[in-house]
Order: sequence, then structure tokens, then C-alpha cells
Amino acid sequence: MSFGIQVRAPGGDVTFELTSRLTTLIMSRVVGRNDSGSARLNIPGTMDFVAQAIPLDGDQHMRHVPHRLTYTASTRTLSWAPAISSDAQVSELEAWASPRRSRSRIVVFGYMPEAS
Amino acid sequence: MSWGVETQGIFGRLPIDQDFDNLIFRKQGSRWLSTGYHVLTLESRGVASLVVAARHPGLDVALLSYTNDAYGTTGVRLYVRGSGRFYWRTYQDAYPLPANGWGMIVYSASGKQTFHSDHRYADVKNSRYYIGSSRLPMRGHYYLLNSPATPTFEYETQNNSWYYDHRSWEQTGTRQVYRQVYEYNCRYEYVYDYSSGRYVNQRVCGYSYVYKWVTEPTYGYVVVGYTVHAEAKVLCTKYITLVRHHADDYVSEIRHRTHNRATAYFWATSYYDSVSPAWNGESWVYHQFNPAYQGHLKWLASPSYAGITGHSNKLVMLR
Repeated sequence: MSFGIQVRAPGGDVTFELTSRLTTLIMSRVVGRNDSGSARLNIPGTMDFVAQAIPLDGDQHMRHVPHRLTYTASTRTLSWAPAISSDAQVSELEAWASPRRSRSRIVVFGYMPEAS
Repeated sequence: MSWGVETQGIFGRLPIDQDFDNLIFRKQGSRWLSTGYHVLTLESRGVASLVVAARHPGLDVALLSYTNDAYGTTGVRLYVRGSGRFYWRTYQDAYPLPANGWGMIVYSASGKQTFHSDHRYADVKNSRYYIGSSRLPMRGHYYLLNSPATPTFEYETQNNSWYYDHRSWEQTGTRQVYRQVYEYNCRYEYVYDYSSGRYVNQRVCGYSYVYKWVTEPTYGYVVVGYTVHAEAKVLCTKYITLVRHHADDYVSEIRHRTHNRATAYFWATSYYDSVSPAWNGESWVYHQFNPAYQGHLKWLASPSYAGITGHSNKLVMLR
């Protein structure tokens, strides 16, 4: 270990080690299948972040589409909107070919960027 | 930071202070999986803000969605290609632990425990905007199971129509033909009758050839109607994106086509009509296509529906 923090038990076992970067959960939020909206992200200045929209609905047809995320750097705003405009327009297709809107859990983590 | 521990590492500042709120390790497990759709239940009761990380050497895996209940995430839906062992770890928000034993605890000014060295904290080892076909070394770490698997749908419409004639063999008219014909003709002759020793007048008949104009019927095929076929299809090509975790511990992204121009919608009609169909430059259109069909599929003409795709995520590796 060249940097970071280690905590050892009296026997010498490493019980805790943190060597590189933080992970901070900046946002975790469930949005409804038809919802769109935006939020300002409060990301600590030295941190990078990752935003994911994870679908919460699913079936064996593998057709649920989570929200589309857009980040505006100038305003630090994360926006989300359903990735497909309407369920109804594709409802006539076979189930496997018919995308469905899904509720999404939007998760934003902050972490220290890697050295480059 | 006003108190706590700060380390300057080559990757940046590592403050463990009143704002520290790393995710903590919750539990781990593994399951043998083979090609197909799987629902993995990781928690009997949902956990809010549960983060799932994975390793799956030798397998291609796509996160399709989280499963959840009223409390939070309970598991994941996966699509797997290949067969092998899928290893998972879960992380969640930190919660306070009792202050006993040894180690280090950091409190905020308000008395909230923000760090306890008995927790196993998530530790980001690497991150990359989605990896594509390049290979990223895992080095034994887990990656956040994200959802590049968002299905992609590409649609194509096909209209096709054709017709064929109905024909009947029938008399189409007459014609005059000058031809040699047999004619039957009779005449009376005097013939010697030995029994009576007299000549008797007797009828004698026979054939002879003559040339004359005759009227005969002509036959031909006559189009009596048309059968018109019209069909409309929507073909769909569908992809999901998998994370390939190579046996040598590299990861890359692959696109997996689950359907290749497979028929997702089919409408057809067939009808008989006595009037000839017309070529409109694209198809043999006789009547307009079924209005229902037009209503259903009108949206496909719009370019915004040529394909439906999600967004790509960043790959984050954890320990």
C-alpha cells in the first residue's frame, strides 16, 4: 500500500483499507415511468460523478427502457425524460418488439477521478 | 475540512471528515448462471439505494433492470450469455456502528457518525466512459452493475402488393374459313335387277369433296377478374448490450442481437375484384390499405422512431 488508510486489529489483520477514492451517493431517486424533470447536482468540486438511470420494471421480453439523462455542465443540472415518447404508439407490435417505458432509479455517485 | 483525516494520494485528496459518506459493503454471493433471462433475488426485503456490483469471468452479462419492493431494491434482472459463475456484491448507505473495540470513528459537529473503520467502504479503483470494444483490465475488482443493456430497437416497414388475373377459356368469337369439306349427296340411277330382269330406279348415295366458306367459333383465355394481395410488415432488429468479462479478467462491451429483422407486425389482405388494379409507382394499389393498419403504423414513418435507444453509462470499478 503506497497511500491511503489502513486500520489493523491487534493481531495485525487489516480490518479496513481505503486506498484511492471516495464514493459518495449524490442522488438516488425513483422517477415514474412518465415523469420528466431535472435537479441541480451538488457535486464536491474535486469529484467526478457518474449518473445512471436503472430501469425498475422488466420482463422476459427485455424491452423496458429507462429514462434518458442529460447533464448540463454550465448549470450543473441533471435532466431526465422517458426515452420513448409513448407506449401506445408501439403497442400493436409483438411483445418482444414493443418497448415499454420503465420507472427508473436515477443514481448519481461522486468519486475522485483517476490520475491521467 | 475542519477535522478528520486527509491523505493526498496520487489519485487526489482523500478526506475522511464530517462529510464522508462512502457506500459500505453489505454482502456478497455468487450463482451459477447459463444463457438466458434470469431474475436474481439478492435481498428478501428491499434496501433503499442498494448498489449492485458484479464479476462474471467467462460470461457476458447485461443488467436489464433492478427488481424492487416498497422498501427498495431486492435484486436484478439479467440476461446472460454463456455459462459460468456470477459473483455479486451489494453496497448501501453507511449507518452508524457502536463505538467499541479499536479503530477510528469520525463524527460531524452535530454528532453524526460519518466514518467507522469497522465498515468495509466502497473504494473506486477505476472508471471509464463506456468501454466499447476496448478491453479494460478488472484486476480482480468488481464493477458497478450498470445498464448499458438498454434495449435498442430498429424498425423497418415493408409494404408489398401484387395481383394475379383470373382467366377463363371461352368462346371469343367466330371466323370464316374456306376449307374442303365432305358433302354427302344422293342421286337416282337405273340399275339392272337380275331377279326381275328389269331396270329399276334406285337411290345411290356417297361422299364427295367440296370447298366452301364455313363459320367456326374461336376460343381464348379471357381475364374475368383480379385477385389483389397487399401486405404490410414491420421488421424489428433488437439489440442488448452485454459486458463481456473475459476469462483473463478484462472487460469489454459487446452488442448482442436478439432479433434480426424479425417480423414484429404483419397485416395482409386479399380480395377479388373485376377491375384492373393500378400501379402507383410503388405498389399495386387497388384500394387503400386497411385504415387500421395505417393508424397503427403511421408513427413508423417518423424519423424519430427509426430506432429507440437508451443512453450509455460510465463503467465504475469498485473494490
